[in-house]
Amino acid sequence: MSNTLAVRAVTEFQETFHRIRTEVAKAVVGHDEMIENILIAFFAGGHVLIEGVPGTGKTLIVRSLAEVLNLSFNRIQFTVDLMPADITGTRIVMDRDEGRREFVFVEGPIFAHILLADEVNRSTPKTQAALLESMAELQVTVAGTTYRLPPPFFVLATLNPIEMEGTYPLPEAQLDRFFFKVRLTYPTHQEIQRIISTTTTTAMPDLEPVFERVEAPEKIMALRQLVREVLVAPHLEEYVAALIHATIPAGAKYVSGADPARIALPKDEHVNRYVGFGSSPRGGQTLMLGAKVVALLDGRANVSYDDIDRVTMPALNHRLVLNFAAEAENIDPATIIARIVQSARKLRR
Amino acid sequence: MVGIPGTEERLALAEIEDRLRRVRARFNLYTLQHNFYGLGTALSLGVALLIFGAFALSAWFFTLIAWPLLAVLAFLLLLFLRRGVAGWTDLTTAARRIDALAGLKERLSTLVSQLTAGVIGKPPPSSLWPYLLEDNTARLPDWEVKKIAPSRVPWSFLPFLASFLLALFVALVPLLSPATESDPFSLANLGTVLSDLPDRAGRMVEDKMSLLPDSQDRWGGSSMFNEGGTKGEQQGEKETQGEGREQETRSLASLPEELQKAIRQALQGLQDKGHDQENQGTTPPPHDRLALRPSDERKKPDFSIEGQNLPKGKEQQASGHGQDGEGKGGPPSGTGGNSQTPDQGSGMQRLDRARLDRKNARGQFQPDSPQIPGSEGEAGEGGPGAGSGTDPRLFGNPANLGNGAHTFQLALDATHERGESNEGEEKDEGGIIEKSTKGLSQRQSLDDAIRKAQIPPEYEEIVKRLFSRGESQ
Repeated sequence: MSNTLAVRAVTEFQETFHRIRTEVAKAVVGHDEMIENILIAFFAGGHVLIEGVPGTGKTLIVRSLAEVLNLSFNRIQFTVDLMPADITGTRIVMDRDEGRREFVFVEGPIFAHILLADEVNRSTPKTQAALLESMAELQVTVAGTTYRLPPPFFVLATLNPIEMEGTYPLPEAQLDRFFFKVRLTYPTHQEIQRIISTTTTTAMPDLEPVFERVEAPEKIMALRQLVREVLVAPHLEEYVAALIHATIPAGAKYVSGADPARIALPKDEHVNRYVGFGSSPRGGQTLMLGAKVVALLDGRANVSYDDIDRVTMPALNHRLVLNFAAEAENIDPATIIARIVQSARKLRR
Repeated sequence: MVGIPGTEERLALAEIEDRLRRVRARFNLYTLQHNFYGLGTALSLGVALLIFGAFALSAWFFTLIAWPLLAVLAFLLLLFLRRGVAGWTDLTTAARRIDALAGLKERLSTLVSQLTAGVIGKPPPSSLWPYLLEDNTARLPDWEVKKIAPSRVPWSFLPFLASFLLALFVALVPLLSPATESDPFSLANLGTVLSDLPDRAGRMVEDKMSLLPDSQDRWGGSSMFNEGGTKGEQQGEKETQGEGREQETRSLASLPEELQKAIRQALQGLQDKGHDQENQGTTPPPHDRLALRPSDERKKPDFSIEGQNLPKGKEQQASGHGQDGEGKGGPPSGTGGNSQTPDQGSGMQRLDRARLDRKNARGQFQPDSPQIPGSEGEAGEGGPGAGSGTDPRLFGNPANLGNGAHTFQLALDATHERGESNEGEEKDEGGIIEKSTKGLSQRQSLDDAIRKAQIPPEYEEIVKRLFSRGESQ
């Protein structure tokens, strides 16, 4: 790629990103940072877990995004009696014209570019596992036959933090498969006012797709590939590794004794006290990929420390498994991550 | 391929690398200087403390402090060496520092890391490589050497300079003080000691053998005013001298053995030499000077003529007044007047001077006392010395004034000497000697009378004031 092409690719990425944000913002009032995080995860090739109280626009965000991206979209409302086949699809007996009957695979709702798994914690772990396997492998296996999911595949799962009765919290291993976890907060006064004014009239917002429907998947995949082309200096990789290791408490199980790290952060007191298990290496991948998207959005072909710090919170907050002490003292992962990021600033020099 | 020679890409890379190396050199120079000055500051302060402690602290406390201080200095030396090594920057580290200083957001360090990884001559590591290079080239003005490089003289130079000057000052103070002079009696200075030995020995001989009165006795007649006090003072002074000699003896004993031996030999040789000279010459041995030999009993001194044998103090006073008269010292000053104080000069010189005085006394008449001018030389040739002389009435009747002890001794000595040296004139001057003997007994009785007499306090005050005026002049 020549310099001109490279510049054009970076510029196109920035423009596409900003256009998507602008179009989604027409339908979704507020939540700018959450929408940006969702888009970062989308272009990085990950999936997003959205946590928020009902009525805060979770479904609207996903629907608007699918409409703007001009991609296929499905929504699954998870319930207790939802079965894996209800997600992945199943084989049914079909009568052919010749009178023959055969099993035909009927794709489930998972076969879409963008899937909204609403209240994913209300289904049984078996159903959840079916979804999460598809998210990780980008494929579905039914009756011994593997079916590839159409790229780009993007899952937005929502969690309802209230009404915890009859729910099945996602296991930590399942949570780790989500790229980001985004917490939707209550809108502000002005945002509520705007929501009321834009959604209670006959005039509905007209979202304009950024891509043509035919070329949308290919273009999105090209942009995802461009993200991976962003260059990273070795000391930034060391920085990410140090961040990940900083989330692991001292004396934790499954930690190798000899770790000849060139740079390392001292174990934070909060980490040792409140964290049961730290982030997995997948957290490091998430950090770097998210940082690359941020770098491109900033018009750079390289990752910086600020890019990494920018995505640390959504990338790690669902990967820290806190213990009972943290729950008793009302310590959330965001507090611990903020301390780690603060202490990691000295590694920049 | 990356970095094909002659291409714009290669030129841009060369420019970036060149500037990076220049900035890196400045970084390393600064690091070197900074650590050097830091170490120099610590060492200077440590040395200053050690020097100061050596003079201000006791030996035990200084030892207690010095070793930890030296340990701290050694630790600081290693610390600064380690910091210097750790602070030495390679190209990647220099690029990271430039990124941080210029706000390049790791653009340069990413590019340099790719270069150091060996991207030259290979396919581009990423499709965004040209973009990264273009980005860095466009931002070259942001990290010019002048903007990024640290100052040529680090801030640590000032504390280093201050501490160095402090240490220099502390080190120079003992060098300027006499405390640093070498021990004069050390073996290293043996040559100097031996060369000074005659002088030292002369002083010692003078202290032991001098016939001249002490400097405090220069007024001669002090015994007239407060005999008891004077005696007490003289006794105290003798005790002081005795202590001084004792200290001197102690100091000699504290010398190295060979030095003591050398001094003893020199002293012995000097004394033997002095005895030989005195035995060969006309001067009698010192222990004989103050006594009349049996054969000389008939040679009684005639104080009516030999009254020039003044106490030394009186001679000094008279000569002083004479000199004030611009060299035209009248008879009161006397030709034998010597302006040199008894304290000055060596003992041998003083002995010679005394001998000369006696010789002069043989041919010239001098009054018994400058304050009591004789009939022949009251004012001399108008010398101010005469004018400033003491009123003869000050002491009452001159006939009642006797000589002091010194006068008496010197008179005896002078008579004795003349008796020995001028035997041919014995006939001519035999009458004089008898006459003098009579005068002596008469004067001794007068002297006793004066000593026993009660001197009024106001009289004594007048004499003291007059004498103090004469001394100030």
